[in-house]
Amino acid sequence: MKRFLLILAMLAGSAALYGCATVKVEVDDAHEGYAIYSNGKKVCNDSRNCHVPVAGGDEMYLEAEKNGVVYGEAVIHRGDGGYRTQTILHRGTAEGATKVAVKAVGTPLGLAAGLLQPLEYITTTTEYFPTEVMIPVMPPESGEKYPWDQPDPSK
Amino acid sequence: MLKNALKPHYNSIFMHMNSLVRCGFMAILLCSAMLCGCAKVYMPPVQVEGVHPDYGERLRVLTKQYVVIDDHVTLVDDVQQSDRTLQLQLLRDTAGVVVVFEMRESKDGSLIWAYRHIAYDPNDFIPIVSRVSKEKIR
Repeated sequence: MKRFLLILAMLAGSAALYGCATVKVEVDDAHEGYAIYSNGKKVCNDSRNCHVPVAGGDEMYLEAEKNGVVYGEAVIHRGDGGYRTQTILHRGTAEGATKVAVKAVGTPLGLAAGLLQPLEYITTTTEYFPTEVMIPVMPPESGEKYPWDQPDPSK
Repeated sequence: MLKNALKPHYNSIFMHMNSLVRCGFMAILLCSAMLCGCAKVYMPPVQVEGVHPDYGERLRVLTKQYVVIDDHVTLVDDVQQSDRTLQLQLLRDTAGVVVVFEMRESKDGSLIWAYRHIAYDPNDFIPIVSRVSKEKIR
């Protein structure tokens, strides 16, 4: 009975911690604030002060929007061994394995599970996630603007 | 004698079974269409503003390809046959071009959803269209 209550308390604790796990989301435009969307839902009105709750699942799709137009996005793919942050328009990928926000979730869950499951289960329940994500929203610096009013050369 | 007498009876059973099978098949088709719920979508030519029409055509072709791959809706060539209309626009902006997707009810033109994304060069169309086709076009 005590063991059951202990597991229950740990699960409740981990659920509470899960609610607290956040990712700080910023944009590379220091002058203006952008609304931030996480997996299609608006989570912040202004990117200058934005902490997004960690979404469940293997992917978190973050978008920065200003005046109804999306100017940039970053996708966080997470797995057992680390995480990968991918930006779409600027085509960059950053990889990392910093156990930060979700470590707090993973450990109690892992411990709780460890009472019932073999030890290796603890490591697989520990997830990785970045604490900060920068969404690029500025136009590319290099080169001239694309001549949109000219015919498509690839045609 | 008895065999001959039963023949018309068997024939009528077979005929009934045949019509039952036909009806069943039609019902299955109807149910699967209802369960699928695939909307028939019409895509008019892309509206462009400050952008060469070539890029409108490029966006339209690309969107059609992705919509067919993702298979959430059925594209139709006539607005009369459609449930929804997906209007694409390319609007020149200071930084690049705003790619606009607007899904409307074909009946009354009411807006279902809209999505606007900046593109700095035509290569940006692919990730934008891929995302919209996968997540939005229903």
